[in-house]
This record gives sequence, C-alpha cells and structure tokens, in this order.
Amino acid sequence: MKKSMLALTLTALMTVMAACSGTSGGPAAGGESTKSGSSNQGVTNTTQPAEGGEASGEQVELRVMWWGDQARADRTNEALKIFMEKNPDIKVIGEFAPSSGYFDKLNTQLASGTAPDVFFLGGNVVDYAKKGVLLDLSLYIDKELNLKDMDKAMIEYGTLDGKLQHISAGANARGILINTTMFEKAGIPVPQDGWTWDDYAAISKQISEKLGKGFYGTYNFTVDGFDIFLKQNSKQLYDMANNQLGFAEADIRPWFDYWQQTSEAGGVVTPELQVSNPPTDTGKSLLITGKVAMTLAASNQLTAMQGLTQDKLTLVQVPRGPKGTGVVFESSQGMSGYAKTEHPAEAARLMSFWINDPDAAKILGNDRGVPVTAANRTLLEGEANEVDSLIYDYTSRVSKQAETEPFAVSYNLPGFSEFSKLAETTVQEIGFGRKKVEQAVTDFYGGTVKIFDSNK
Amino acid sequence: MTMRNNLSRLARHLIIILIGIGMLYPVLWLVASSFKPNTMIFTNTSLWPAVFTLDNYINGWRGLNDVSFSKFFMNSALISVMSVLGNVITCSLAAFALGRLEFRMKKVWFALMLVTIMLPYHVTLVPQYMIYNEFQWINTYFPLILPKWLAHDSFFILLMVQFIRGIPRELDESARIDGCSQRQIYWRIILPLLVPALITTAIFTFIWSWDDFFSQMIYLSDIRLFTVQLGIRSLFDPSGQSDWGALLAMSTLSLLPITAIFLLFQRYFLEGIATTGLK
Amino acid sequence: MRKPPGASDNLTAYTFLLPWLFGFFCLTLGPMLGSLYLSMTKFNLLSPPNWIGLSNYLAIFTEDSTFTRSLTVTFTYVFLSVPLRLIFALLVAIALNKGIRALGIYRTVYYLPSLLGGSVAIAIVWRQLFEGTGVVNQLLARIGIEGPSWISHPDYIVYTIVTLSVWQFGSAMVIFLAGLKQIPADLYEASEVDGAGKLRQFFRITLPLLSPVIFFNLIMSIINSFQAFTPAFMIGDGRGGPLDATMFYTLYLYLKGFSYFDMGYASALAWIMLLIIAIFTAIVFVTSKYWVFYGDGKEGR
Repeated sequence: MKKSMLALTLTALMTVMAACSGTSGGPAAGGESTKSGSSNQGVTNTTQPAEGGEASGEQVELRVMWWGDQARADRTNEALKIFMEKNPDIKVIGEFAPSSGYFDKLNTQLASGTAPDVFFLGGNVVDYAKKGVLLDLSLYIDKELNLKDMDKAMIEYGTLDGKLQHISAGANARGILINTTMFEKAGIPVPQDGWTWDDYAAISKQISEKLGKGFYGTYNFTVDGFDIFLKQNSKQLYDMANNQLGFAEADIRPWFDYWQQTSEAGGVVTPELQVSNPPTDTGKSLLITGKVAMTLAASNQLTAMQGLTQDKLTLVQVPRGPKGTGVVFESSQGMSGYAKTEHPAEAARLMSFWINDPDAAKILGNDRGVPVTAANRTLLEGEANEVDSLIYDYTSRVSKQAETEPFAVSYNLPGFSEFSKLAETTVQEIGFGRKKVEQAVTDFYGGTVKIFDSNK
Repeated sequence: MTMRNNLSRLARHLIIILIGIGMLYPVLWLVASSFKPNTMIFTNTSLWPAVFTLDNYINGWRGLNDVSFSKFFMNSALISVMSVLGNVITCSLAAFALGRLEFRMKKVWFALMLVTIMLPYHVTLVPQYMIYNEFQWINTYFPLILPKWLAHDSFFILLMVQFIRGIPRELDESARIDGCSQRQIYWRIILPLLVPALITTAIFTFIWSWDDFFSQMIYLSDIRLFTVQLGIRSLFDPSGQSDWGALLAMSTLSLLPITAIFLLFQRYFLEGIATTGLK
Repeated sequence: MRKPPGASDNLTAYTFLLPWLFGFFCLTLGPMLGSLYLSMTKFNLLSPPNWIGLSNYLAIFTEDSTFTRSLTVTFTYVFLSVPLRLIFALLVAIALNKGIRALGIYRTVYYLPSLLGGSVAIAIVWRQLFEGTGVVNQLLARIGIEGPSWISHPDYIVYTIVTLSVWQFGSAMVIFLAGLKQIPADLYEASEVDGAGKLRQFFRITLPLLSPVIFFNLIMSIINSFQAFTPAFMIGDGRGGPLDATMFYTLYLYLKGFSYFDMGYASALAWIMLLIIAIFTAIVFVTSKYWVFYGDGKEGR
C-alpha cells in the first residue's frame, strides 16, 4: 500500500519530467525568448490547437479580448454571435477579463507573443502604438474595413504616426455632470451652457454655503480637466506631430492656482473625501449621494450614475476659456489588431462589422459610448429612453459647438498612467498642505518631462 | 472553588465572544448588505436590512454568458482539491528529506527553497507564462495545479520541516532498529505524527487556491473555465455599473464552502500527539 | 548520532526531494535567472530588452524618491504588523486551544476574516468601516473623539492596512494551534504536580516547545509582509495613493513593470527586495540558535 502509493507519485512525476526535457529544456527556452523578444515561436504555438480542431472546416479562428462587467460581456458575446452568423467562415473566440486585471493580462500576452487578434484599448492606445504592437489597418480601408460613414475626427484619432491603428468603438464628450436636485435644494438656478470658470467657482462656493457642512459644490478635477484647460488656452497635452510636450510650466500654473483658490473659498470637496469617494467610482461617488453638486464626467457615465440615484442628473457644457470649451468628441475606447496576427483581413472585417452593422449597434447600445457612425447614431436615437435622450441632446450640443469652435483631437501623453499618477500626487500634495502651489507645479513639470523622455 | 471556576469560565467565554463580535462585524456587514437592494447598500449602513431582497443572489447566480455560478463553483472546487492533494503529497516528501534526512548539499537546497519565495512574483510572471505557453497550457488548469504537484509552495515545506523537527528522533531510531527503511519511517512514523501539519496544509491550500485571483485571471480566458473569484470580479467595474449587490451576494456564497471546510477540519487539531501514532 | 551520509542515504533523500527539484529546475530557476538578466536591461515588455548594465540599480539608489518612500511605507508595515499579528494570534490560539466548550465555533469565528483574503468584498467592507463617517469613527465619536478619515488621509491609511492584516491573523493562529497540539499533555500534568502556575507553565513549557512554530510564523510573516501587495492594492487607490502613503514596495514594482512599462526597472527592484528579505531571514535563522528548541535534539540550524 505505502510503497505503491509512493511509486505511483514518482512514476507520475517521471512522466512529467520526460515531457519537460522532451521540449529541449522549457525554462531555458523561456528565458531565451525573453532576452531576444523573439515571440514568433509563441504565435505559431497558439494557432496549433486551433488547427488541431480541424473538424470545423475552413474556418478562421479570431480571438477577441475586452474588459468590463457582466452586462457588457453579455452584449458583446451576442454581437459576436451575430457576426459569426453573417460571416460563417470566421469563428470568433471571445476572451474577457474583469477591468481590474485586463491590462495585466493583455501585457503578459503581448510580452509572450500570444495576444489576441483583436483587443480593446482606451486612452492608452498611444503607449501601445509607440511600441509597435498594433496592426496597421490602412491597407484594408475600403476593402474589408468600411469607414465611409465613420466620423472623420474618430478616424483621425485612430491614425497614429500616420498609420490607422485603432478603430473607436464608441464616442463620448466630456461635460459637467450636475445633480440638479441639489441645486433645487440650494435655491440656485441650474447653470447653462456658455458659463465661465469664474461662474463655476462662484456657483461651487454658493452651493457649499447654502447647503452647509458636508455638502460641496464640486469635485476637484485638476487632473481630468487638465487637457481641456490646455486646449482652452491654445495649448495641448501632447504634440504628436512633433513628438514633444504640448505645454510649458507657465501654461499650467494658472490651472493649479484656480483650483487652490476655489478650494480655499470652500467650494471643493476635501482631499480626504476625494480619495475615499473618488468621482470615477460610480458606487461611491458623492454626486450619487447628493453631497457634491458638480463634476467633470464623460457623457456615457450619465447612464451608470443616474441608475444609482433618485436625484435628477444632467449634463452641461464645460465652462468656457479664452478659446471656448475645448471639448470635442473623444473615443472612449476602441479596437486594435495585434501586429503579429495571422488573420489581419478578418480582424478588419470584425471591426467594420462592429461600427457599421445596425444589428450590432442595437445590441451594443451606448455601453462603450455613442456609435461612431452617423447612421447608427440615428438608429439608436430613435429608440432612446429618457436618460439616453439627455446624452444625445448633450452630444449634439457639443457637435454644434465644435462646428463653430473646432478643436483638434487630442491624445494622451506617452507614459500616461505614470503621468496621471504624478498629476494626482501633485494635486494631493497641494490639498494636504505638503507643498505650496508654486513648488508643486515646478516639481510636477520636471517629473512630467522625465516621464515623457523615457516613453516618447 | 467550583463556583470560582465556573465564574472564570464564564468570564473567558464572555471575553472570547465580545472580541469575536468585533472580529465578525465586518463579515456580518457583508452578509447583511448582500440582502439589501443595490441602491441602499452604501446609503443605509445598518446591519439589519430595512428592505430584504434575494434579487442579488438571483441576479448574481446567473453568471456570465449563460455560464452560471454553479459552474464557477465546480471549477474552483476542482482546482482547490487538486491543489490540496498535490501540496500534501509533494510538500511532505520534500519536508521529510529536508527535515529528517542527511544528504549532500542539503543546506544549499534548503536555502534555495526559501529564496524562491523571496522574489516578488510579478517579475517572474512573464517568463513563467512563456514556459506554460511553450507547453500549450494557457487556458487550462495546469499552470494553477502543476506547481502544487511540484512542491512549489515553500511555505508548506518549511511548515512541515518545523513540525518534523519537533518529533523526537528516538522514534525513528527505534524504528530503524526494527528494520524500517527511510520510506517506511516516512510512511509509518512521520506522516501519522504530522497529521496536524498536514491538515493545516490542506486547509490553507484549499482556501488560498479558492481565494486566488491574479494567476487565475492571467491564465484563464474561456468563461467556461472561470472560477468563483473571476466570476465575482466580473461583477465589478468601478467606472461602470458595478452590480454591488450581486458582488456581495456571490462573495457571501463563496465564503460558505471554505467556512464549512474549516469548521469540519479544525477539530482534527484536537487530536494531538497523544492519540495519533505512537502505538 | 551524526554520521556522514552514505550513498544510499543520498539516493533516498533525493528521491524524496525529486518533485521539488523538478519544479525548481523546470519552472522556477529559468524565470528567476531571466528576471536577474532583465534587471540589467531596459525592457518595456513589448519590445526586445536592451542591455544597460547596472543603470537600473544606479537610478534606484540615486534618483528615485518613490523607491525611498515605498521602503519607508513597507518597513513601517512590516515592523507594525508582524509583531502585532503574531502576538494576537498566539494569545488567541492559547485561549482557543482547549478547556472550554464550543471551541470549533469560536475558532471558525476568529478565522472567518482570513477566509475573505484579498477579495473585492473586503475592500468594500473596510472602506465602509474606516471612512470619515464610518462605524469606527461613530464609535470614537461616542467617547468624544473626532476621528480622521482613516482610509483616505495619507498620515493614517497605513495603520488601516496594518489593522486589516492583524484582523486577518487566522492563518498564524491555526499554525499555533497545530503546534500546541504537538506539545505532550503529560508535561503540563507533571508541572501541575510540581505546583507551577499557569504563567510559569506558559514560559517554561509552552513557549520553548512552541518555538519551532513561532520561528516558522516569524519567518513567513516577515517574507509575506515585505511582499504585501493585495491590501495596499485593495484599500488604497491601486496606484499607491493618496500621495505615496500606500505605495508598498511590491505595488511600486508592479506599477513600474505593468503600468509604466518598465519591466527591467521592476526586475531590479525585485532583486533588491530579495536581498532585503534574505538579510532579515538570515538574521532570524542565525538568532534561532538561541531561542528555538527542536525535539530532534539538534539546536537550531
């Protein structure tokens, strides 16, 4: 009994060992490919199991990966099912990761050469484009990839370094999200489009004063509104054409000063609350609980936010600076192909389906932002509910504004996540009284230059 | 005298219960909130739900893409059980060698065993992923289970080494005089005396595999292979419409199996050295 | 008693060690050496690494203030949480060892927090408890103290995380319990006959006989606490904020590697961490000669 047990374990291990040494020393090979980055090996490997299951005939297997929650997973899979019905020669394998780990997973797969053929990216697309891992889709335009009805600005946004590398899957326009119930309680009229930053500061202060302790006019969006402020003053975050920073230290000082003064006047949430109840976390946002009246948000967030509160929310345009609002339609997220994919044409077909197909649009809805083609927008507007109508109303106001006050699309800085961490730290250093604004801004700019130089 | 004994016993119970309530409060909050409607979870923070609903459980259990949580539970259970078997068998083998036997380079191996767990795993993740990819084991349970069958958890090896070293050496000596080989000593003497440590290993391995998220997330893509933890995280997207209620409900459910396991197995600690082996 | 190992002894020992050896050479060694190599390169994960020698290490020690801050945070955490956790676990284990009814239930109650591990639920619960208007501050208010926002003020958040780690003391407790079971009951009976009090028994019998297990818990707590990642990731904002108050060392390393695309730098950070942990472990091993007593008759290691 005892001996046979041991023997069994050992035999099992021997078998595995044989398997291990059979592949010419697994660890060595792994180490090797890390060094040389020669991940072609990996690519051929992943397709092998697919070829093993030849039973499905001439079908091409296409892996697609996205992030999000349960509802999005259901919608996406349904849309993919329709794609397969309409394209019987392609079998799509949906891979999905919770948002908390998506990019870790994607990076691991990219590093080991096993990334999916199509994957979703957000504002960080610049970082991936810089590293040359994205498929150049230019070759497929007007063939597999139909962009005739797609918004020009969105095509422009997806064209990085002269190559089409990203197809937006939904657009947003940022605006000021307002809890109108709080305005009613305070007896202050809800602001209208066309207001200025001075108005914004004054109204924030009024709300805080009228409603008393524990209520605030606005969240601090120094970081999220950073690029908008720059554009309102004829600067930009990242000058992609010349691959350099789009602003100087002197350009940003007034923005930090503005928030410092508004905070001192009492209109802004305390730094502690900003940390414990961040505006981006819909579950904890103080806008939902009726403690903060205004914040900067992307238009599609209205749906999620309104779903969590009885208070009535609405969207108003961002306060104006010297050059206007600085707000344009922006891609909220989109699809990119993997540079090493074996099925680039099929990947392009999937993207084309995603943005153009009316059936897909009906299923996907506004989940990733409003559709990027005019036809699908009209289609969805026809079926919009009350909250959706608010969003469409807002985005059409932004479009109209953009006709008279055009702004170029803007990109995130390369190394954006490190940059945004630095920016947030800077705001907190000022908020928690660790640094004076002047010192903080100087350090911030120095840090930004350093991050940019190591990522450009 | 008995009066005083009773009083002191009562006092002991009281202290244990009071601290226990403090310990348990966060867990109770979790359970209570899972029965509240989504909009009330963060606004109504009392322990007793003002409105009682089972919707969170019903919605949550549906899972993703027609794969319900029952499947996730089965998957998690499979991974955990396989991991337990692996760890108990292989770690005890290695621990016997390192804790009891004398052999060349023993100290080197012992040091290396400890060093392997000193390197943060984030930096070995990518190379390790490449190895598993080489074997075409991505999107299977092998990367999650195999390390357990290769005594990868130095934690448990060291745990067992410490327990083995607590066992009087005279026992092996006398067994050896009776003609036992090392293998028989391992099987007849050490293992029976090691039961508390083995149970500990089993419980921990089960719970830790059950709670693991990162490696499951990295290695598993197919929703049909998803585990409970992956299912729970999928309910959660801070920037979107997180279904907090369902998340808390499924978290509560995920606690049940591991709580039951602990409750069932902890009593084996009661059987100390006096009742196992030594006959 | 100590005779040099013969060839057959060697063979037997290596047979027992085989699974581990196999895993070590096939799964662990390669990636470890790989990361050592990468620590001397600039490697952005997505394009091939470039050899830059010791530049990463140089940069870490000379111009990286986040590195220094993350070390401070991590050391604070280790030095607070390890002793607190172990003392708490030991006391509870002794209280729940034997002699009263309903032990199983009590043990489970005390272990339950540890079952939650690093789940999302724990982050939600912890925030709920320790935010400005949370339960903890409501209790403090009753005795007239106005508590800060424990989970969002950079001066306090590390203590919130320490509290979480102490709260999840269950695994250390279980190991102590298992260790207590190994202590022969007749030792206590004998000393009772000698008229020794409970306190004397604790210091004369329990502590010495439990020392191998205390040693184990100490080593493992040190290693795990230095590598603590999940609590900082879940309780903080996941990016080390507010300020760098939750920038635990491994979190910084992870951010560098995966978010900031600097895996070479992250690998260098990892090897520095390995050295730090190794030094502390070695110290504990060396001192163990003086305070750990093994039943196998050999003193320490």
